[in-house]
Amino acid sequence: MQSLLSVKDLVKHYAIGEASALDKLFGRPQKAVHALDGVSFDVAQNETLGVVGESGCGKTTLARAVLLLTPPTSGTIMFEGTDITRLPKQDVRKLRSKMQIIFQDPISSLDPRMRVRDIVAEPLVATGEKNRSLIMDRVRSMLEKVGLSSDTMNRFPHQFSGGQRQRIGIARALVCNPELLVLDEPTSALDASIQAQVLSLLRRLEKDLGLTSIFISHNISVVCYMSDSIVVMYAGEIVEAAPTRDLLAKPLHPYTETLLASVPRTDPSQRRPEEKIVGEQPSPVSPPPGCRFHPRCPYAFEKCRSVKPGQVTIAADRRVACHLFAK
Amino acid sequence: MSAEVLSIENLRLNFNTEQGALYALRGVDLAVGRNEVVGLVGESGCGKTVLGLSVLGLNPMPPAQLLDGSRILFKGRDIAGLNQSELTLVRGTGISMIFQEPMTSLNPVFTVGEQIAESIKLRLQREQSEKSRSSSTKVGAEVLDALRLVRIADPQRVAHSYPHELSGGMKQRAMIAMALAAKPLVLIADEPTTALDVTIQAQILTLMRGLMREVQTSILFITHDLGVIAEIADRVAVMYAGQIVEEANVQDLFSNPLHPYTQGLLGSLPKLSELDKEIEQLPGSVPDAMNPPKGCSFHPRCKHVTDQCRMTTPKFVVSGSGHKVACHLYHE
Amino acid sequence: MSLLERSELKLTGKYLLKNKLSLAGGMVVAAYFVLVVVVLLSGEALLPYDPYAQNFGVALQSPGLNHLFGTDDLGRDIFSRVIAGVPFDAEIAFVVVLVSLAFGGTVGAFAGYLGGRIEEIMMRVTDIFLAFPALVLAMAVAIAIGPGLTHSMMALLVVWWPWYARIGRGEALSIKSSQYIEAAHAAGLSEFQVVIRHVLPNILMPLLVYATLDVSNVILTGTILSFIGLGAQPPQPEWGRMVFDGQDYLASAWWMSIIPATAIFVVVLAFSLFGDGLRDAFDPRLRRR
Repeated sequence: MQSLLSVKDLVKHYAIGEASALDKLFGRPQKAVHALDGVSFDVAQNETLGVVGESGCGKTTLARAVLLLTPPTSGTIMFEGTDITRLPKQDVRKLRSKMQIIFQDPISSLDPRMRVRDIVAEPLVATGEKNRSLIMDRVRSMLEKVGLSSDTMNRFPHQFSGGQRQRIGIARALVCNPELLVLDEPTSALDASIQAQVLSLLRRLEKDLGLTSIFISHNISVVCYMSDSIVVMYAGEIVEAAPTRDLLAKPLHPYTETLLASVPRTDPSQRRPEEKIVGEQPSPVSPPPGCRFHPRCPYAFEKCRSVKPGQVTIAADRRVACHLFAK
Repeated sequence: MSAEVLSIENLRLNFNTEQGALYALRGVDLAVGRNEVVGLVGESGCGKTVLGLSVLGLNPMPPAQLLDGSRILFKGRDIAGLNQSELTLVRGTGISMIFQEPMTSLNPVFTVGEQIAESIKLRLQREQSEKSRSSSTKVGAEVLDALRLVRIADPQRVAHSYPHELSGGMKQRAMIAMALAAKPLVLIADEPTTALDVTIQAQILTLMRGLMREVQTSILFITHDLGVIAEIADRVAVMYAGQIVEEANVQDLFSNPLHPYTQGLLGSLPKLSELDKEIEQLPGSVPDAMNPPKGCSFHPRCKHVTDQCRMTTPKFVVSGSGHKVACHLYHE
Repeated sequence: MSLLERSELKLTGKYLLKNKLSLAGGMVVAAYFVLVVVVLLSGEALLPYDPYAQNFGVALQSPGLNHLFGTDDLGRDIFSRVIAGVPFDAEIAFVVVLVSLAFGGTVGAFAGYLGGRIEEIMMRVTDIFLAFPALVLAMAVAIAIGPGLTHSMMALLVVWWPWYARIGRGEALSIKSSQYIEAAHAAGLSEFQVVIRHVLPNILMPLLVYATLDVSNVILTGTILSFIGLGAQPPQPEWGRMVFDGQDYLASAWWMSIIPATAIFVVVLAFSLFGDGLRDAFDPRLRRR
């Protein structure tokens, strides 16, 4: 299947402060936050790729970098076969109607002083479409598709609940019929029962509109429910990539194991005994040498502390970055 | 039969706003036994946090207003109507509370050790009848003990650290240490793991389960996360629109949820073991706290709704194992 | 009007009502407005006397039944002159404030939002302006371009816009990192469109609140410019000028200076109180939310 999106060795570093004169003199590299450190993956047409990881793993940066909302430090992004990484600003803007994003916070992602109809219409307006009635027709039909009646059009965001605001965000993202949809924690700010409504809506839309999506969340149950295949991120890197079922049936990377073991089960009879989960996320400014997970890994051995594991291909669609699996 | 340490009876609390009264708590009965973890679960707006704050009188009054007939019995004494200075004696000694965001609960200009020491000194002052000042070495040793209790590997370093120097998980451990250093009978934990990563959350929950065996403290654990409840609670109360709609021991609640809301809530969660199953959707949303529906508050969203549901509030029906549910489906 | 706008107005109204001084100020401001419009529309038709008519026979008469505020050294009725003088400062104040808000606010918004070199340059320019007390700078400009009411307005314009640029920049900075701004980028809008569609509407409110407080400052500075001879020229009945004209007669005919000075005082105070109340009505409410 053809890849709609292909990302190779994507790196994003955020510089901290100014390089001091001494640093420059001694040629020391400037301190930076290593948000993304060489991430590669493909998203096939009509597929939903899940990205799961905890805070600081880089998944939010990934969402922004892939859409060129923040310029990558290095690496390549191929969209529909074209290299878009270093496109000039005007060309990037023209691409926007094809790649859209849904944000996490339903409150702050909608301009409080704009009416719903103008908020949803914005991506269309940005394409240069001037026909007002055409725009409003599309807005109306999009709002109906997400389950909101057309009399929401003239109201303001604060008049709606969190779940409804998220639907408005979805309508906005889909109004231009994008090819690629990035969902950055779309239900994390919603209650469980509202989350269920929004997730069901998203699944239905993805199917009906033939969307290709990247679903990002820290909640592994939700990611697995929504995605065909998954990449697991840790400290700015992808540690494992596999189809959802395979990942759950047999997680390979020790971090994936840890992550799955940490998920609270809704079955009290399955309470786990004392876990071997130790430690916390590494500092993004100075990650540990070798494998970044080694300080917390129950299987770590000498090589892990000094040599960075490369991506090992287990099968056509499975990769893992761990010395345990190196040939 | 464990004796009750804390008993909340018919708690009714309103928030009086310019637009009218907000019915936050509409007659809540809840008891916490000795050495027990009671889980209080519900979505946002159900009143669970208000309930936790009410026990210690931490809701700002006004606009909050406790209605007549509300009782909070602690050690045989009704603390519901106490004023602030009387409540200060209860807080931190009999009842402690920890919150969701350790960042805002810990004072940034004092070290963790200093803050834990404060809580210890207060406790020692009340335990000793004479106003003798406890020696600083004794307090210092207790601080380190408190930190070791929460499995902090390097208590000396952490005691001398400021909150911003510690990670999220560490801060939450420090908060628990501070709360337990006062040796309370009841610990109220309001979403203590919600802001933490899931691996850190697992560590904290394991810690808290372990602590239950070591200290003589009961926990009222408030959260929206049913999975967390399953991990830690002995008994569970489900809240909806300011009322408790179901209460049972944790096994019974998960294997046999009775209230349609509980069923809907459990069904709406994606489960790793059942990915093929379409998750259930509860239609509608939580009711307006200023205008709760007549009769059963859940009736507008319930697929089993009858006329009786629309008119009369259901009373509790109790089964043999102590499984309580407020739903007309279960009346004789 | 949306529910938000209606409830905002209701809460603002309730708060202002509670603050009686603000209310009093507001009433004077309203009266002032009405007066401005009336005088502009009716010209001198409603005045008891022609403000320019000199009559040495009644010069320096103290306030009485014939001349409510007395007469000046040239026999002109001070009451008529005070009323006729209302639009002068009002016009200047409103033009200066509105233009400064529009121009300064927009420049500041762009600078704050775009950042980088543009922001640097703009901030340095405004810093230069802000380093001088507005009055001194206005004087300098006025001296350079010559006296006259229109010239004093131009001088004030030159000097006043940097304040709004600074506020506009600050507000734009705080909005810049909002997620709806990011959403606007993601939708494909150009930077210019983002500023016009999202930044400007959201910074308008704080700018307006500041502007209301500011009107009194402009009126005061305008009258001072006239007082020192750089603004209105005789025989224009502008209040600041009138205060100047009456200086020599303070002992014998105090009403020549004191009456227009009181008028200035009352108007400036009214705008100040009203603007203060308005700012209070918006700020704590926003915080309470």
